[in-house]
Amino acid sequence: MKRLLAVTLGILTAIGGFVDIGDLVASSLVGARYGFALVWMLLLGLVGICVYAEMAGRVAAVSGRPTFDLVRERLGPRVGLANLTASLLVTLLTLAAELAGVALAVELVSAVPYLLWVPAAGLLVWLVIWRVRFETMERIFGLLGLVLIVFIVAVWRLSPDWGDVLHQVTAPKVPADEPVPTYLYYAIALFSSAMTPYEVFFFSSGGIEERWKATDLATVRINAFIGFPLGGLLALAIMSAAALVLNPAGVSVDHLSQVVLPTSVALGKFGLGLALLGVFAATFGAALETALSSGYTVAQYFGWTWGKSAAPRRAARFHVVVLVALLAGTALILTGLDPVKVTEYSLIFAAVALPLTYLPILVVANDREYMGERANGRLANVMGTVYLVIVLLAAVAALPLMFATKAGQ
Amino acid sequence: MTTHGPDPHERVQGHAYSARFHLLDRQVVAGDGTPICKVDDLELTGRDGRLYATAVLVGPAALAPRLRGRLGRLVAAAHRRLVVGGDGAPPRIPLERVRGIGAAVTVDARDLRVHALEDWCRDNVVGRLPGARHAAG
Repeated sequence: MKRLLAVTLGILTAIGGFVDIGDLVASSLVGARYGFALVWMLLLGLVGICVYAEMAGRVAAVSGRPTFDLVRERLGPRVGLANLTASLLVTLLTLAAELAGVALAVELVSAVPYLLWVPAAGLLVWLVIWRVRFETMERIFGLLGLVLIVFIVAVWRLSPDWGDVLHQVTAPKVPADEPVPTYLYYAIALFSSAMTPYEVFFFSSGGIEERWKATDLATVRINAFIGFPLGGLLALAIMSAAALVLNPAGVSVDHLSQVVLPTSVALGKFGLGLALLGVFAATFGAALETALSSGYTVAQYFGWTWGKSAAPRRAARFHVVVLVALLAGTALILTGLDPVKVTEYSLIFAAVALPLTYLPILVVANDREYMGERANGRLANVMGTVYLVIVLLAAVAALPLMFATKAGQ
Repeated sequence: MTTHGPDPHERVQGHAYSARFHLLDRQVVAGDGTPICKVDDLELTGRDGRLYATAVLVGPAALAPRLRGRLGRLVAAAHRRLVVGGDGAPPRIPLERVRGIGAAVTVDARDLRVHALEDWCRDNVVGRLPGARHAAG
């Protein structure tokens, strides 16, 4: 029973972390524009986050050190600070987009403009961080986010020709009227939505908040190898729904309402309601994670006391950072920036910042002074190295592709 | 004593600690594992023609020179303007307080005050919000 409850950390990180505004937008956008031609990229990113989340979680459980501790220790104060600045900017953009996602979900239910809901969403996120127990927070939003299964039901109800779908997945083709650079640009956005750095920050720091020890390695692995693929399955369903409904109709995704549209086509009002509830839970959960991650990264770089489990007085600077991050995210969305664009940019910038986060994890996971017997095995090292190369390629290509394609136009 | 990582007492005899690798930029924690600060720099004292590490230096004043270049000067300048009184020297934790060197540096943290900013944030921002004394858990 206890083990079962522990898996909820994985489920929250899977739903609120894997499926967050980035996945909702990227999966749906790519499904609508390219059909099933980028499913391979989603799977590639999914395996990558499993590999590195397990590694970061294992380091946290065995050595008690969260990811950003390792970043500064192994990259030094200067490069560490550069990574902190980049990661923090990306996390703030993501937080802003999540808050907009929460507000847009409420707008679609209430017909009251989302900008009015943004401050309320920011305040509510802060209150949850301030008052709700870490485990309770996870369970509520993790389980509520599972409502996104409605997308799987929708795909099943649309009853596509599975043979044809399988063919499109296994033999992906760039559509004839689409330029290749744009295809690659969205491929990187999709990859980055799976491997967003804040997921490992949150996963490792959350593990420490839950007091993981070396004996909890089973929990770490269940979370990384079951929780994340579960999240990936939902992202896949969202993409498939878009590929089946939006792609043939020629609808492009530039608003959250189009992301949930396939559920209403397949399942009617009830399905749409559930999808909106799922979007609300996923973005709210991810808003909590990104707000906390802002605090985690800054506090861990500078060595401050951090954590939401203790009384806020005991981690004052950490809570100030979380508060400022929430205010900044709220303010950014209140300027009226297009939330879908904010999401897209956060994904592309995240791709640039990825290598500096994953390299230290790989290095420390091999350090026997930290890890003793629990250091990386051969499989983890091969996968880790392969993914580091992929991540590097994505980081190098991201910005040139952004400029070349005018951000995917 | 932290309960994480290899036992620092089990370090192989004759296997020296490297200041750069085992100390600099490591997390400093109290006996119960609470994070305190980073090893932002080390105080070295010359004795008999050799250098000995005598204290852990903490805070932006210690970190700024290690950031080097324009960035370092910027941090140092910002820090100078925020400090009132004192000689601007960084807070130090004498090495006698260090209890173990492992994945983190464990120190005896009793009566240790190295955080002007933490105190300020607690007294002026976080401490004033309702519920700041209660752990959410």
